[in-house]
This record gives sequence, structure tokens and C-alpha cells, in this order.
Amino acid sequence: MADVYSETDLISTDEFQDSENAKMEVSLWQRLFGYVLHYRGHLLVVGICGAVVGATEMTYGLVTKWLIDDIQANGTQASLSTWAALIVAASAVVSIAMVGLVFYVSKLRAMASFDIRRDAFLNIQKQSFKFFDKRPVGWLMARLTSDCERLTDILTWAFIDFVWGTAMMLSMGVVMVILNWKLALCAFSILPIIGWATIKFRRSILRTARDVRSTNSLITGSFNESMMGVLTSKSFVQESKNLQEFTHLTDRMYTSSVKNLTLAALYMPIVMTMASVSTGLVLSIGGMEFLNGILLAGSLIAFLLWVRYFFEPTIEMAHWFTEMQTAQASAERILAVMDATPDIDAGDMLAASQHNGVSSIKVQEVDFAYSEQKTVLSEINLQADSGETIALVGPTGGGKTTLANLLCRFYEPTSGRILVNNLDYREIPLYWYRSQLGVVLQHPHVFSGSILENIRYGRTDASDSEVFEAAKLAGAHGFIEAMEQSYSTEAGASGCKLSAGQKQLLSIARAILADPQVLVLDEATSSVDTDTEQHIQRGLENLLKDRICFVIAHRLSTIRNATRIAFIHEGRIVELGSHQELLKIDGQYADMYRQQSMRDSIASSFDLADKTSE
Amino acid sequence: MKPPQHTERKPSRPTLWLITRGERLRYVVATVSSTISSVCTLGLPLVTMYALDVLDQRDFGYANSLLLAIAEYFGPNTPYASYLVVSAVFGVVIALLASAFQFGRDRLSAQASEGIARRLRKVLFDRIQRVKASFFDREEIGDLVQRCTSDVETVRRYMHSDVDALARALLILSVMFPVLWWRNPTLALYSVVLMPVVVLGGIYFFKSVSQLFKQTDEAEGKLTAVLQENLTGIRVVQAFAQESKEYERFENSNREFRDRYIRLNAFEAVYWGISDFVCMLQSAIVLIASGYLVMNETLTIGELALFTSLSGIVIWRVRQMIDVVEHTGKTLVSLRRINHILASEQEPVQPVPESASIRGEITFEDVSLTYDGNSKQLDNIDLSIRAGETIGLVGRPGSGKSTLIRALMRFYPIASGRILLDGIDIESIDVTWLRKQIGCVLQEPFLFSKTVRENLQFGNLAASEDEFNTATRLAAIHTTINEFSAKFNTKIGERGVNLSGGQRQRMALARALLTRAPILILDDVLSGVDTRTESAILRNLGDPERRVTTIIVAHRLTTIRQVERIVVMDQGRIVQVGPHEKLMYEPGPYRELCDIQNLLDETIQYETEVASHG
Repeated sequence: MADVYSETDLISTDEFQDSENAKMEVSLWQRLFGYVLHYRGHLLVVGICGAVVGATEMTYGLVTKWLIDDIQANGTQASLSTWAALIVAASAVVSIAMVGLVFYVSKLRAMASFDIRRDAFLNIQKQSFKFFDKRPVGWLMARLTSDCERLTDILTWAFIDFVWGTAMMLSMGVVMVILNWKLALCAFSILPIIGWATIKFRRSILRTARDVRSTNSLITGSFNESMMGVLTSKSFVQESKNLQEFTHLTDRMYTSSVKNLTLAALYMPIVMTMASVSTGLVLSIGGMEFLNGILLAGSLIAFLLWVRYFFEPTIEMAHWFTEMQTAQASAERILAVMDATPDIDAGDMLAASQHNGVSSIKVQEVDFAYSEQKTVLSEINLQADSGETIALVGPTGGGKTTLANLLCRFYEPTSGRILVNNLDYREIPLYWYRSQLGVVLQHPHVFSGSILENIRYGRTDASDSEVFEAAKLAGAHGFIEAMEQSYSTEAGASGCKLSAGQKQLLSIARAILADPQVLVLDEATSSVDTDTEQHIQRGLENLLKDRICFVIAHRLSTIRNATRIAFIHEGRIVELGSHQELLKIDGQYADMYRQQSMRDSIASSFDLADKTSE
Repeated sequence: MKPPQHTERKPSRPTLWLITRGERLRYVVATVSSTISSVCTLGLPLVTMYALDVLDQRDFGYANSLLLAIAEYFGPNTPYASYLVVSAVFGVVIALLASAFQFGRDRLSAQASEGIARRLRKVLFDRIQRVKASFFDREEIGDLVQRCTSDVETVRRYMHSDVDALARALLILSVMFPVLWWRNPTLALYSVVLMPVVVLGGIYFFKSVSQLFKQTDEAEGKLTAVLQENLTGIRVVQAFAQESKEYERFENSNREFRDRYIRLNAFEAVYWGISDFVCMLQSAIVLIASGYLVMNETLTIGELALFTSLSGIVIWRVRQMIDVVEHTGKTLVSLRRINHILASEQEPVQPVPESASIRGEITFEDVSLTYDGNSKQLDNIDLSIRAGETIGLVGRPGSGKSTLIRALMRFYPIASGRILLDGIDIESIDVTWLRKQIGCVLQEPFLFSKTVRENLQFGNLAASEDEFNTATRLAAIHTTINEFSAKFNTKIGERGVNLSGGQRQRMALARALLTRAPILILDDVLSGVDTRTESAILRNLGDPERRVTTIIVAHRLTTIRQVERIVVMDQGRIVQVGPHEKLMYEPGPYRELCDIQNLLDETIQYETEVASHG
């Protein structure tokens, strides 16, 4: 039975089981980069600004060189003001480019994240229940919030850091080579070592980073569960045991985080030390050249300034590589969400259908399986015409809810057909069909917002008095009126204040308000007392006159008036017919029916009944 | 059995200072390490200064005497070359030392910050579990999880890289400024002349955009809430074909967040540009001023190199420090959010009664309870339940049945009256002890995303295999479990089996039975179970060997009539008490229920006869 939304699964606990491969999936990033590429103009500005900022990083060193050379050559005749003007001008250019860069990168990031989130959201809305059975709300939330932000961060900032870094290293490198290629080569000679260290560290940093993230999602899941199940923990006095288990997680988090941070703390100084080695090389070799008159003092000082910053982009780039690889799983998952093809084809979303209402529903030879291994329904045949009520009964786990879900087209049959007005419902626009339905699910859901808004969800243009009318029919009016703020009472996301029975009544009111052609009630009154239930039934009688109704219930008082009763056992309709007919067969239904009688013996309850009537 | 001992402290309100408890020594050592590292950073620029002057002036009088002595010792024949090599090696060694101490600082602060985060997480988890149940009525679980995860992460990050940023910036300044002063006081002053502008400008900026930060955060929070709402209610959304309305809601908050983000970052961009410009201007001032001094021969080339490189380091470090202002603000907000949980009211620790076992006699004396201080959910309840008695609670939704149970479990405090367990006021005894005496199945029971076995162990950690089998058989869930692929080791949740409503209820029942507590409470536990299974379960529970005080909330008369006494509730009051045989003759709500059932019974009798005879 996969038809139940379980709150246990709000946040996935094994988020990081997948994707241990350290390989970079270029195609993934290409596709996501498409979202950034969509804003070509912005991207171009960002690229140019980044290149300008990067390329002008070496100006300071260059002006320093020119200034010193000028002083050494011309003494007090050196034109300081020229150099001052030049350096201020360069600073101004860089600053302006910086403003453009930060502004457009942020904008690009916001745009891309907006688009990705919208696409993912839209695709999620189209999915069938099957999709949601496998993906807990918390898991989807993480895709649409943190993953989205994280990925767009990478797509934009990593891009700009690459442009900037490349521009900087290239321009600086070129100038160095032009000034003195031998000295430049000396300075660059440590690059292979930095490269080696980068690759070496990247791998282990990546490993620990993944561990940190997976532990982190376990911790989030743990917090979530501890709150969802707080009353259960309290009633079984399991607080200490839970804390003990949680302590294991935090310890693991501590160990892997410290390891991760230590590796990062080790990598950076190594690059910095290598830069110092490069400085040392330039100082000793350049110094000799300066002594021998091959190199100008200005050039030497400029080299020394540059070498200090030259390797910095490698740190940034290494950081982004690690980040990209840890985020690869996020990229995979968000693309999977966007790519998921709904297994139900909604048809034209807005197409107004030419059908006027639903006059018949036929289930023909329907089989259904949630997964390949286990068939839940087989060879189901059932027909309902306007004005008929079909009751689905049978032991728990038999497939009643599944059949109801198929009727609502939350799932589609694995084989066989369901005909609506003699048309396969797969050929009818889904939204039209759903708008004909009024459904009360097994687990009533209450949205945050007032009670009024919750009922009105069934039909958004309903007037207040229509809402009250629906609530009356559903037997909910009484308890709502008794509340301090009546219909404006906050129903609340936690919904703690409403009992299970009250939530059921609200859901029924919502369905009634929708004024549906087809009403599907899945154990809609299981937590409601018999008296209220009878009241609801009387209310519905009028409503159902020329409608179709499917009802699942355990209380036979609810179902015995149905036009037809389908007794479902282990996925098959084993008995089908009116109440009288099924009693005549004297099969499982009749058995079950008799169970409903006051248990001991029918005779004694007859006695009691006699006495009462006296 | 002794309850877990948790020392009751006053809820400590964490401040940045308080949460460093236990890690302060690490921070002290880290700061010392950082200082040494800063001093060492000076090494290479100083060595370079000496070397440049020696080369420029061709005079070993400018040399550092220590380096000169070493150089003369190793290579007396090639004085310049050996001096350069010794300088370079010495510079690199010192740089290495700087790196090593930097690593020391990073590692220590990693341990300290992770230690702080670990403790915060543990304390939060503990608090969350021990907080009064009513706390959750006012809070959204999603928001609480955020506080426990991302807010802790904000604090952690701050404690790792920002907490000592001010100290480090001051250290760098206090190490470098004297050196600059020593070489040339005027120029030293020039090299910090714009620093106040950077600091004050930065602080001013973050002060003035704090409102924008807040708005952006709020927009993000709103977006998260909209998503959460949509995804948790997705089945209802689809059932009522409300996708387009939902999309509109989402699109609005998605856009709102995007626009706020872009607006905030426009300000940031300008700030970055200006502050970068000021920093570059600072470097330009140093360069031109040094050039001027060199021109007038009051400064050497080496000193120029020293000033340009050191002043660059200082100003950028100060500039980075300004970001810390922003981070500090955010961290304080996070701490406040965390504090909200830590300051919440905890369940008290009270004395445990001495008697080893209780009989299970429950008395309600004039008990009233209110959730909001206005309407009474329980109104002067008087009821005594004998040890071993089975009581049935009936009434409309919202009549106070579940509330009565919550009061007994002490999930909610009663406003007046007393509840006695074996004559002891339950308010005077330890709440965990109380709950251990009660095996409770709540309405809408919660199962954890663990294995079946782990879930059942909640009832009794030490339960043997036999006990598992017995309890699951009694709860009529044994066969179902054995049909799971991994039987008792099957995971419940999205990666394992999804259970139907009835299966969940029976699982929770088995869990409660495992406690073997002297009191058993079943709050609407059998609503999702078919009649036949229900009868079997009730028969099992009625077994004299297992008899305990039992309170059953139910709606089906077939369930209710089997109990010894029935309590009928309406609007928070008890309106009828007595055995079925008595109540059904009294005028009142119970008799109305019976009438419905009797009518049904008559029909059953009649129809069965008709069916069997003809």
C-alpha cells in the first residue's frame, strides 16, 4: 500500500547514498549553465567586467615598475603626477567594473535561480501521486530551496572566478614573460607542484565534504522526526535514547567536519608557501640579473609584487572544483525533478471540455501495480451512472483506496481502461476531469489559513454563505461556530487544535462546496461518531441525486444504502451487487455484515431492541 | 526503575561569549598562533627590502647583519649571490613558519567552532524533546528545524572564521605598523590614512542596508512557507485541480524574493566598488608618496618595496574585517532564534513515587482544561476508573475525548481540579514516571522512519523475540509484518514499506502493548481497521491474563458496547456514564446512537433470515 502519505518521510535520511563518483559530469553542468546562458546580455557584461578586473590586477605592479624606472632614470625629473593619474584612473576603471560585476552576477544568479525553481515547481505540479509516494516533502523542499541557491551560486560565481582568474593569470603571465621570460619561467616553475597538491587535496577534501553533507542531512532529518514524533517519544519516555542516537550523529559530524576543515587549512598554506618559494626564486635569480644590469630595479620589484598574487586564483578555482563536485549530486537531483515525465498525461491544461458533467464511469478489466513485483488490483470491472452510489468494502489492505485513487486518476491503470462518459479518461483533459471531482482523502489535509479559507479551497469563488451551507451539510458548522473566532479561526499548518474527526468534517465540507459531479469519499467519516455520520449522510442524499458517488467505509450503516456494493478482497472484486443481493449470496459481505451486529448473538440484541421499543 | 536523570539548569541564554565555554583555551592558543603567523608574514618582505637595498646601492652596509654573516660563512667568494640565496632561503623558511602557525590557528578554530556547534545541536535536541507539548501548538515545525540547523550553521561559520577577525586585523596592524613606523614614520601614517574611511564607511553601509537584509530574508522565508504548504497539501491541490492558483501564489513569492535579492545586491555592488576604490587609492597614495621620497632620496628602493607590499596586506585585511560586521549581525539574529527554543519552558523533573508498581486506578476530580484561556475544552470532569476497568469514551468530534487523554498524559496542564493515579496527584509526580505507567496509542499515530523492530522497541527496548511476536499477534499485525520482504527488519518510510492507515494504527497498538504498562489508552485506534479485525483485537485485549486499566476512544458501537462502562462526552462535559445495558435505556445521546444501531440490528436480523430462507 503505497497510497499513504506518511509524515515520517518528511525529510529523507539517506540523501547522499548516490553519486560517489569523483568524475565531473560535464553534461549536467552544461544543461544547468543553459539557465545562465539564457541571459546572454547579462552574462556578457559579467564576463567583460570580470576580465577587466582580472586583467587590471597587474596594473599596480606595472605602474610601480614604471615609476621606479622613471625615478632611477630621471631622478627628480620623474613625472610622478603622470603615474599618480594613471594609477587612479586604473583604480577607477577596476572599481566601476567591480560594481558592474557584482550587480550583474547577483542579478544573473537571482534570475537563474528564479527560472530553475519555477521550472522545477511547474513540473512537480504535473506529477502523479506515484511521484510523491517516493519523494518526501522535505526532499523536494531541499531541491527547490537550498539546492537551487547553491547551484546558481556555482553557475555564476564560479564562472566569474574562472574568468577573473584566467584573465589575471594570463595578463600577469604575459607581462612577466615580456619583461623577462627567464625570470617568468622561474616564477612559474612551482606551478606543477601547486597543481599536484591541488589534485591531491581536492580528492580528499571532496570525500570529507560529502561526508559532512550526508551527516548534515541526517541531522536535519533527525531534528525533523524528533519534532514530528514528539508526543510519541514523550508517551514512551524515549527522550534519553533519542538523544543518545543523536549524539552519535553529532559526533560523526564533528569528526568529519574537523577533518574537512583541517584539509582545507592545510591546502591553503601549501599554496601560499609555494608562492613564497616562487618569491625566493625571483628574488635570488632576479637579484643577480639586476646586479648584472640585465633587469631594471622596477621590473624586479614588480615581479616580487606579482608573484605574491599570481597563484591566488588557483585556490579559488580549486575551491570551485570541490564545490562543483560536492554539488554534483544536487545538480543530478534537481535535473531529475525537472525531467521527471509525469506518468499521467494531463492533456491540454486549460482546454474547456465540451462534456457537460459526468454521466457515467466504467471500469473495464483494470489491473494495477505500484511496483512490478506486486499487483494490487486485478480484473476490476465496475460501472456507475448518474445518481448511483457505489460502496467499496472489504478488509484493510485489500486495495479499496487504490481503486479510489485510480478513479480520481491520481494513478492510471497498469492495464485495462476507465471510461468517463464512454471515453477513456486518458483522452479527457485531466484538469477538466478533476474539476468534476470532489474528493475526501483518507488523511485529511488542513492548510494554514482560516477555516473559511480551508473550506473555500473546494471552490474559490464560493460566497461566505455557500461555505456555511457546505459546513452545515458536513456537520462541521456546529463546532466551528463554537470556536472563539468562528470561521476566521486559524486552522494552522500544525493543525494541532483540530481533532482528526474535525479535520474530516472540514474536508467533507470542502468537497461538498466543490459541488462535484463525482464524489469520492475514502473513509471520510472514520473518526466521526455515528450520530454525526448519519447527519452527514442525510445531507449528502440530496446532493447526490444526479451525481456519482464512490464511498469507502468500514461502518456498514454508511454503505448499506449504496446502489451497488463491491466487496474487494486481495485486489479483486469478489462480490458485487446491491445490499440485498449480496446478502442472498451469503458470502463474505454477509459475513462482514453480521459482524456489525451487536456481537454476542443476534438473538440477544433482538431482545434488547424489543425491550427498547416497548 | 529509575527515570533518566537530567540535571535541571535554568535555561541559559547563549551569548557569543557564553557559547564559547569550553573552547576558550583553543581560541586563546589560536590567537597566539595567529600572532606568530602575522609576525612571520613580515619575514619575506623585510628580507626582500634588505636584499634590494644591497643590490641597488651595491653596499653590504644595507644588509641584514645576521643574513650577511651566514652568507659570508657559506660563500665568501660570491658575496652577492650567496647573500641573495641565503635571503631567499631564510624568507621561505619564515614563510613556511607563518603557514604552519596559520594552519595551527585554522585547525584550532575548526575544532573550537565544531565543538560549539556540536554542543548547540545536542542542547537543542535535548530541549526540543523535553519542552512542554503545548510549545508545538504555537510553532511551525519547519521553522523550528531551520533554527536547529541553518541557524546553528550560521553560528558555526561565524565561530570558525569571523569571531577572531577583529583580533586578527588588529594584530596584523599592530605588528606591521611599528615596522613601517620604524622605517619611515611619515610614510607609515600615509599608509593608514584612508583606513578610517574604509572602517566607518563599511559599518555605515551595513547599518543602512540591514533593513534590506531583513526584507530579503523574510521574502525567502515566505517562499519557503509557500513551497512547504503546496508540497504537503499536493494531493488536495491536485484533487481540487487548483494548480494554477497555486502556481500564481508561488510565482508571486518567487518573484518577490528575486527582486528583493537583486535590490539588496545593487547596494552591495556599489559598496564593493567604492570600498575597493578607496583601498586601491590607499595603495596608490603609498606608492606615489614612496616614489616621491625615493626621488628625494629619503627612502630606499627596498623600503619602497616594503611599504607597497605591507600596506597592501594591511588595507585588504581591514577591508575584509568589515564583512564581519555584517556576519556579526546575522549571527546575533541566529543566536536569538536559537535562544527562542532554549528559553522555552521545560517539563519539570519531579520526585518519583516509591511504590514499585501501581494498580491503575484513575480519578478525575473536577478537572477543567483550556487551550487558549477562553473556551473550556474540559469542563468540570468528574470520573473515577477502577483498576483493571475498561472505559469507552464516545462523543462528537471536538467534544473533549482526546483532550481528556492529553490531560492524563500531562501533555497539557489542567486549569483546575486534580487527576489522581492510585490516589497520587499526577501533577506532583515525575512526568516520565507517569508516562511509563501508560501504554498509549495516539490519534493519528506517528511511526519513525526506522525498521519495524526499532519502532516496536520504542515500547520496550528489552523486548524479546517472543514478546514481539505476542504483541504483534494481539494487534493483528503479525501476518502483515511477515509478508514484508525483510519482516521485522523492514524499514518504514519511503525507502521501505508505506503502511496504510489501518496498518499504522495496528503497528502503534503493538508498540503500546509491548510496554506492558498497567494502563492502556487507545485513542481512536481502530477507525481504519475493518470490523472483523477489530473484533479480534478487542477479544485479544479482553483476555483476563492481560487485563489492565483501559481507556478506548471509539465511534463504532460494536466496539463501545463491549466495555464495562461508557462515558459520553459533549462540549467538554461528561453527559452520561454507565454500562451499555444501562445507558441504552436512559434518554440521551447514547440512546440515540443505540437506536441507529438497533435499527440496523433489526434489519440485519430480518435480512439474514430473508436471505437464508428464501
